[in-house]
Amino acid sequence: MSASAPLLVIGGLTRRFGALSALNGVSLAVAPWERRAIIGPNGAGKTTLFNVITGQLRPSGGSILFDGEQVEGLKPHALARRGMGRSFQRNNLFFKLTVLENLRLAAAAGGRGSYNLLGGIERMRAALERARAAAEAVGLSARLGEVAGTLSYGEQRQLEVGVVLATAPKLMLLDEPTAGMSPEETARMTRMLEGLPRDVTLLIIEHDMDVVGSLADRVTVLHYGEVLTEGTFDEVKRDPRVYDVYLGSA
Amino acid sequence: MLELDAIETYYGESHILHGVSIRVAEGEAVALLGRNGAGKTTLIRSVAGFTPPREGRVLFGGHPVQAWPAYRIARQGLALVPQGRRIFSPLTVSENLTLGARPGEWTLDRVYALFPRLNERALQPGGTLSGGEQQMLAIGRALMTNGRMLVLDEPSEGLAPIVVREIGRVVRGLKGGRLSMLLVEQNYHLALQVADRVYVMNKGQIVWEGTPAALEADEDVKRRYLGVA
Amino acid sequence: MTTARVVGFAALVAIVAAFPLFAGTYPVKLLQEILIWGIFAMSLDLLMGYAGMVSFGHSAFFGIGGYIAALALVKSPGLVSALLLPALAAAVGALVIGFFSIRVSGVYFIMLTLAFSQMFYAVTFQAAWLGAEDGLVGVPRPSVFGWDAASPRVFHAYLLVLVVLSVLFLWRIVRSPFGHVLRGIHDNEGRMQAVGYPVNRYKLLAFVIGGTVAGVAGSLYCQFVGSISPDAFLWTTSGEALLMVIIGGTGTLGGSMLGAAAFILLQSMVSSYTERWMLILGLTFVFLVLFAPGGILGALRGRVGIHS
Repeated sequence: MSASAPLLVIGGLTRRFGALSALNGVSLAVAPWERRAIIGPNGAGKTTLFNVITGQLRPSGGSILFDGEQVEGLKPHALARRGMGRSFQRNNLFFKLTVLENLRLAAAAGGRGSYNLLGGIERMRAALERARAAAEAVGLSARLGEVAGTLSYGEQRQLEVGVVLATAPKLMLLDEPTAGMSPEETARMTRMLEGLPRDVTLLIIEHDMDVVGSLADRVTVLHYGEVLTEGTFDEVKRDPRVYDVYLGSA
Repeated sequence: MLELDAIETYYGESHILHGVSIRVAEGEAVALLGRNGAGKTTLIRSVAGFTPPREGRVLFGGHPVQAWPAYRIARQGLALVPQGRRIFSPLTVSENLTLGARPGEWTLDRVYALFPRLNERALQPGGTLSGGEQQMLAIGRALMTNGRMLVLDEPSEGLAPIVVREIGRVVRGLKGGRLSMLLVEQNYHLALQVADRVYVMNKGQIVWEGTPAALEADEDVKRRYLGVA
Repeated sequence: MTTARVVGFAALVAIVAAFPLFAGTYPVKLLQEILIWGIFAMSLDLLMGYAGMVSFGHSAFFGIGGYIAALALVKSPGLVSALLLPALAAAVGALVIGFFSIRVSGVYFIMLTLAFSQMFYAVTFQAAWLGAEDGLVGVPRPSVFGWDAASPRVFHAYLLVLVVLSVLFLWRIVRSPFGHVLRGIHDNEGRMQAVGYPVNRYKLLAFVIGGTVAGVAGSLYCQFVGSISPDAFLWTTSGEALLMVIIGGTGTLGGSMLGAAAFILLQSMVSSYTERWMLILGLTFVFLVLFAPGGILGALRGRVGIHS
């Protein structure tokens, strides 16, 4: 992999809620094809960071450069169209629709085909193919006809990642993909994530340190809305400041 | 006072707690430590009756309560200070406190003496209080039920260090007497200031048990289960 | 579309077409009224049952269609006046109202759409040149490709053709890629945004389509009765359509036609015995909501919910 311009550059990002600074000048850069984990104790601002990057929240200050373009202030759908996909901490699926339809909707997003008023859905071949490929990648090929609401929690979590994958993103932001999972499900999800195509850049919020250890090339540690440190998982593991922060204030 | 006997708790088909057993003796303060996702809150939910275990027993005050509805367990004397405070925002501070009050040594006056700031804000809606004040209100509300065991689920979450210190001081002051305590925390230091005994959880299992001093001395356990691996 | 459905639909159309041959004037009039209101309710079901947009101002487009038809047919009784102009006017109305209303959701959307429709009521009620509270009367039926729709037989055929075209149009939309997007929006609007759909654009398009078909219904109603009054804009018109959609089964399209039939037949039958037919309707509605939330069609299909 030759050195190239970072895919995502965040500069001095702040986000205030009244007097509270949830994000206090966060800066980081993610290289293309990198797998970066964001960790930190509760209240560090990790999900707020994702919400600001993906346009769900407006930043109070700072800049976001994605694929060479200033994107702070853009709405979520505009960012998704530019290749930024995001999964949610709590399953945020189309619960009344089938697994295939969940994925097809994601795969068809942003295409003109969706304005077709009179045609049939079978004609959306490209979208259907991408949907099936995404199902394959997340291990749900056998469940395509099931209604999403009837899947087990772990399968729903898999579908949660699948929906993002189906949009063929350049950057995937996964918010605690293994949240609420049993150890077996977590192991399965970790294997699935490891098997994702390497040309998709990953930014993952995680609490499960085994998952972080298996997946991450680099780790960024957030604390009270600021970047405490950054490095490989081994470096971060050994950093006494990180240890202190996790054990809490005295 | 409280005994969990090899409980297995599921969320739907997800097997979250694996054979968890803990004990809290009467008058004892026990802390439950672990990172996010370790299963601490699921354990609290299993004790309080929100997410009953599929297998195993929960004994509270001698009664097997694993199949009881939550309100019945509360009436037996389980006083919960939930994660995220969950105070009643539209109700005033005094309404929050008196809502579930039961007769006993904790009266409104005594709670106000413990938390003077709540007294100042007695008629303010709960939703207008700061995070730290809401935490005090949540603790006061639980005390007013005059229960036998206080269960605190991550009282330090989302609070500034200086407020955490004050909460720790308050909780420490509640010790002694017949009130038992189960404290779930991510903040290691807060937990150790309060607890007589400590359990450490990881991936839905109890992985360590001992005294605060023993935990303080065990760098390996601390690093592996409380720090970053 | 399964063969059974095609055959069933064709049979239904045949029966409706042949109805004037074996039924008297009053039953035929009831049937025609059902067809017109059925289209109106279906256009609302597109919004409510598929896109999840509960509008309480759908009468705005019904009324626009009716008034434009009345004004145009008096000048030139042809298809342009009967269909094209009312549809265009309703579409423009829906574009404007939709542009403002879609910015908000939930209760606010309901209130805003209601408010807009009542603005039309207020204006037409006052406007002398529109007949004020009496409205416009003496509206002629159009001439359709040489045939005069003033003749009952011609009108029946003309109406049926338009109704079938509208039904097929809405039915196709619901099954199209666009229709699937609407269902996605109804299920989880936030996720649709997150995966890249400019949701408001789709909602506006749905609103305009629904409004246009409602305008056609309003125009047909005007041609049916021969007049139009401000009552077409009244909130009760929106309310009746809402009831028809819910009674028949939200999110089924066909249910709306059933709901219109149930409503109008109930009104006709019960009001011949008592003035309190609204009470009976109310009780029927309560019964349905409690025991058959999927409406008549939902109950027939053995489901309690929306969508197949």
